Amino acid sequence: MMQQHEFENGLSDYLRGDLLPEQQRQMEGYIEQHPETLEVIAGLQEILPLAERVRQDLPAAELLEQANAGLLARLEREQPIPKEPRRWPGWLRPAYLSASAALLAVIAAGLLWRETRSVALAGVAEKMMQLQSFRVEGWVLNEKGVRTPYRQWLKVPGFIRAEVGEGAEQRIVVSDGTWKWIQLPGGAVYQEAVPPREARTIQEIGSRLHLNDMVAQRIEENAHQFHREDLGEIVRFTIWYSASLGSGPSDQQLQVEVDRESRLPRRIVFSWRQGEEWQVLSELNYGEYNADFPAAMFQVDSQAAPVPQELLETLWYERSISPLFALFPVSPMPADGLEVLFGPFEARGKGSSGMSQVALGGIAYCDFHHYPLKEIVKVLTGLPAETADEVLGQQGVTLKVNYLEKLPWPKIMARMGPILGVRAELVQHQATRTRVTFVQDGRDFPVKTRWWGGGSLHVSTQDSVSRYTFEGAKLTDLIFNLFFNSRHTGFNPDLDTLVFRWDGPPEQNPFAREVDLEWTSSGAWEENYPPLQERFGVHLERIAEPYTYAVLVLTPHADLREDPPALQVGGAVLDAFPNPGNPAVEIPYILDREAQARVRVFNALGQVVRTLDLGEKPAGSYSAYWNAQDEQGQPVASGRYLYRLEVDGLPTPARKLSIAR
Amino acid sequence: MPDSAQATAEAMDRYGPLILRIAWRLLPDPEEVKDIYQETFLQFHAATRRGTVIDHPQAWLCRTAMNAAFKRQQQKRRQADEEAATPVYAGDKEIEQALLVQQVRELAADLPARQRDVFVLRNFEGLSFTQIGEVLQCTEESARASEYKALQKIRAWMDGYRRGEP
Repeated sequence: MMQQHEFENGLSDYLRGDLLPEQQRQMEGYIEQHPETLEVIAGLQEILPLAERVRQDLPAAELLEQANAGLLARLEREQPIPKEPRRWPGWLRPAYLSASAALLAVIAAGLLWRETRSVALAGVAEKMMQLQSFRVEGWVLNEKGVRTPYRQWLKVPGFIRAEVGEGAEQRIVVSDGTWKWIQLPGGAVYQEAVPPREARTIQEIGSRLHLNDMVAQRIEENAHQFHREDLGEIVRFTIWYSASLGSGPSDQQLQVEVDRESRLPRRIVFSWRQGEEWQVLSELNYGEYNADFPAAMFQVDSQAAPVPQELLETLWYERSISPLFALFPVSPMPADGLEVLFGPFEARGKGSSGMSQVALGGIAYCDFHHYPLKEIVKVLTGLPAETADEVLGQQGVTLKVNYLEKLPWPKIMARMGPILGVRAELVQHQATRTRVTFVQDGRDFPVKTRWWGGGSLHVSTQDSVSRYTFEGAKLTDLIFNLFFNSRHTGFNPDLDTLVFRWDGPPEQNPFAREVDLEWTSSGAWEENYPPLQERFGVHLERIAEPYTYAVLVLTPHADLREDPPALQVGGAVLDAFPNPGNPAVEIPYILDREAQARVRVFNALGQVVRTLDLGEKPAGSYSAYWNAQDEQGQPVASGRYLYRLEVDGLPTPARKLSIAR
Repeated sequence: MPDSAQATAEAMDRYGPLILRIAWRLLPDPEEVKDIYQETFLQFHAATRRGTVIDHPQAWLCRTAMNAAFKRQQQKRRQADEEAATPVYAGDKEIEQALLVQQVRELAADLPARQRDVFVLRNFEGLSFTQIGEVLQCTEESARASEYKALQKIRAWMDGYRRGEP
């Protein structure tokens, strides 16, 4: 009689037909007696042919030759092996080892510093992150492309002072990590709270300077080129890479000059490529490390007159100034507070849906991909949106938009409505919501039995049975956990509220006590409520109350629909098709003016794999075709690629495609 | 020729095609494959230079190549995950099939080391369980059990992906 493990061990051979007839019969007999194995067999029958396809995939014949040639060249560069390895007398070893350990540490540090690039930069970051304060001085290009003097002082934990521009144009930005003030020459002050996500510290600046270990390694991997120069006291790292800046990706260059001895930066120069030229965006000198900057530097005259409302509009640019400004001097400022960079394009065929949102300096950068129109409006306005026509609401839209976070919804929809083809109206909805209140009847109850360690809450469900194990858990946490892990609570998280009520002195608050509970149930609230009542004297009260909430009602207005705005540079690529491609891929693109068009395909390392010169074309929609071959006509490997359109040499945002062979 | 160079040359001659195939089947990118191949034999060379006695060069080389290939594959996947999702147009059977093949390659990387090695050698390389036992220095039965577990895991993961689990 065949045993289960024998069946399992022979199953893949059986499915491949590799068994002898007798073994095969035994397997079939076992399967007949155990019909549950059919499911396992069906699963493996799916995987084995896929693995077989991998097996059939053979490398090109010349690859071995090329690999061997490269290997031999590398082996030849190896140092010859000393015939007689030097042997140290036994009595010398301890001394030798202790001395060599110190020496090795020095050599290792030297090697890291000299030979590896990301490690060297990470070391710089580490040093910076230990600082208490430093000063930056130099210039940055402002939004009008004019070199503007720039000085900045930073001090832990989050003090920042930046002076930008001169004379009547000067702005002083001061932050204590919680508040940010912008002071104009006339004394006017604009004040706003710094959102926690923007509260910067030197530590974070260090990490955001692209110098932390992980990021430095990524830069290294993605860098087109990485160069190190020894200039006496200074070591200069130059890194060329591609990254998104402003309205799209661009080739960028970061030059970091580091003091050889202190390993702290002295100068950082940031440039980007405009056509064939490199344009320097900022040139900043670093110094006054750990200087004791007076506290007064980080205070403003809070008695100063506030900025008049009309001036606020002109302050958008200054509001975006942040400690990161040193590295990202060109903060793309949305025109009129909102700028559509790409799209909207309606979803074509099936595809993944998603969105990303980054906020910096009060500006939100949103990228929607096949995202429901209703949800886009919700993200942009911060208000729930509804459509009578559900198809309209769920319509997938691809769109890239930058906007000021504080822009009121009417302004947003005045701009976005025509673009999305909808009108928005704010409607107040009436609803009833329930206030769920837990009260305790004042009785005493057993507290936790274990007096050490922190509390733990654990819920597991198996075979429709939920097991709750709470040890030393605060009663509020226990109730909260039990309630939200239960079915049939009748709680609507979008509307209802949950509160714990205790009217006595805080030190006697029973909800703050730590208790134990082990409980097993089907997970229904009817079963989970009794232990709260019986053991802890906790009761639940439900109070229904009317509730008014605002919602944007969207109605379609096809006649309002504007043509998708193309990029500032005059064109854009759309989704490649098919994606993944095998082997040819169609790359649709649009030009909104007559221009010289070129599509470039990059591999994951940012190297150009293929350039498709498309010639001069009038405005319109076109398609480029890539046969998944490189410039030498060799098929490219399976994997992900980036592609982008260049309009008269100006890059547009890149998109991704995959090649699957 | 020094001994280590001699040993490396012999290993290249004898196991080079196998190592190249393994690398290719795990990461079908000519540049990556060349790198993995060279790294594997350079490590072998370095080990023999240091005087390390490698009793089973085939097993040693296979494991080193597989480790290197899976490490690079995981790095690439991490990098790809960090990028935004690439739109995928389903519907074309060939493309879907190619994606599934790629998925099997990638899922193999997530298996425990022994199961992964057996799975690759059996399914991607077509070695018999007896040969796998020799390469991995284990019994045939243990190799069979590892393969079954590997297949079950890959199947469960693929089902999970279909259900949209991370």
